[in-house]
Amino acid sequence: MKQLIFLICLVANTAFAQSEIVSMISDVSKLRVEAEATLVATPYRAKEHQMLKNYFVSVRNFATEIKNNSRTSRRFNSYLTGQEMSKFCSEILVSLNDWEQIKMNCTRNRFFLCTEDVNEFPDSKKVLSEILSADLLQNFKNTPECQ
Amino acid sequence: MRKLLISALILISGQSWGQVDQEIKIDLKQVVDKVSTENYTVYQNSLRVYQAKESITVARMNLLPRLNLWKLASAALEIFAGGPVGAPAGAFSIIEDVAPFLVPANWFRVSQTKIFYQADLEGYKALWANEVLTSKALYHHILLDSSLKNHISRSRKDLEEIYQIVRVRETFGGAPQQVSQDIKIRLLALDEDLRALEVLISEEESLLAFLMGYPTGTRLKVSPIDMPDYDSLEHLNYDDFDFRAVDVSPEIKQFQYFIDAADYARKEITYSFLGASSLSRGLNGGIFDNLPVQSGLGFGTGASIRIVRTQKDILKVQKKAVEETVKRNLKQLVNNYNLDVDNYINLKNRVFLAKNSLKQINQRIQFGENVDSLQLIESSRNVIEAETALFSVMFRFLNSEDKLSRLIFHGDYAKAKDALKRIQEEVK
Repeated sequence: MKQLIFLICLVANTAFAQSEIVSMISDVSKLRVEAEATLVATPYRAKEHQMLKNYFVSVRNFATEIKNNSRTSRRFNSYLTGQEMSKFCSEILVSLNDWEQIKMNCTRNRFFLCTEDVNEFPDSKKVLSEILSADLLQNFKNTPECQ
Repeated sequence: MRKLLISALILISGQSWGQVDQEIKIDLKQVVDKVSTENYTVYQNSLRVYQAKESITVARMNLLPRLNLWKLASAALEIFAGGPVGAPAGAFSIIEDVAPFLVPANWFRVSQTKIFYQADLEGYKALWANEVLTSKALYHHILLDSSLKNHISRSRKDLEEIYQIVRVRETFGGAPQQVSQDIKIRLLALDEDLRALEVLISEEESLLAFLMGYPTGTRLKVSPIDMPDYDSLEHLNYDDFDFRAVDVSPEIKQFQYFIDAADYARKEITYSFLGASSLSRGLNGGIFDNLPVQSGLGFGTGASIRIVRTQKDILKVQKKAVEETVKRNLKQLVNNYNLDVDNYINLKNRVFLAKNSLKQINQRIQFGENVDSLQLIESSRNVIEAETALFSVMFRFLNSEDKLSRLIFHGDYAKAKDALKRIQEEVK
């Protein structure tokens, strides 16, 4: 009986932890979709700039929030172990091509006009990679969607 | 003995020559680098950031028990000798010293100190950018004034030649007496302009040396810069820049940090019934120091909370005002820039026509024609004025671009990140 209760608690705890990570990924993913839809709406005005900012800030916050909390970091690694890396990366990261396109659209009259968070995207990805365990990191490096 | 004395004199005079008027050749990159590291105001501010960082440590460490012997002795006396309410009162009276971490207000103070440190970093960024902007503008002004000086010298030389020709013609009766006199008056006026420019350049160089942290007596020699291709410059659009200008503005971010800190100040008052904090909020925390925080639960707590809420509203209004100021500056800058783009072609034509007119008059004088002295002087003045206006617009472009870069933290101002990183490493 005690073992059963322990097992139920363990499953419930794991499910709760997983749902927290899934919810975080889903939030970033929604903003990614919005950012990708904004990509071609040039010249960018306040609305488009804000959407891009929301996405790039969310990626940074996602990475730093997990990095700064060892418990969430462990949960995140265990969640990713059971997932396809390419699926995860395409959920939360814009492709390298799209990012370069955004950067190009952000430049007018030789001035960069978008939020600085756009330029800091590689830093956010670096923070994300630093959270991963050795196996996952290798997988992350070898997956084109994560580049 | 005499030889020794002479050598000593030569040595002393040589040393004193070496001490004064040290000349240093500089370029714009050096200006940015030196202002970032050596400028007195920037350096002072970096030390202030260091103090803010240390304030966090002070606030954190003050959560740990501290030894206040007199207070302990008086509490012990109350416990053992029996005070007005006995032993418990004695124990509680020393809780702020023995276990300050049990007072929630102290924790809120720590959070405020951390936020004020971030606000200080933004303040440092703004100050650094302003000093770089001032120094670069001064560098551009030195170049502009040097160009004007060279141009006036050239004009003076041309006029001197005409003066000699006219003098000869006057001697042989080919020209009325008044012409050479009028030209001489113009030459003297140009000499005055040249002397005034020399003094102005010297003052600008001295101020730039000060901004770069060089000792008094250092003479700077500024290197020329690559001028932009003015013919290819296009109009700017305000709407392109306004998001970025507001988004990166350290002044606005600083106010946002103050607003965030106001929430902790409110919590501090809400939980003041568990004791008030005597910890410092740090150097920038003065804006909340006058808020009425009472130790213990009193009838004034509600009003105190309302006061801190109003303080937050005041900060929000101030933030909005700063935001509007940034936008207004941007609008003005874009308008002036576009005005200069439109005027540039006109000014170029004006210079061409003025030069052509003067050249024709000179040729007429050389061929022995009678020329009205007023016409000659007016023509010479026109060339100088047209070229001065063109030079001014060319350098105004440089300054406008630099101001725009400062507003959106572009180009040299993107180095703000390095300046912040350096200061964060220094304060670790």
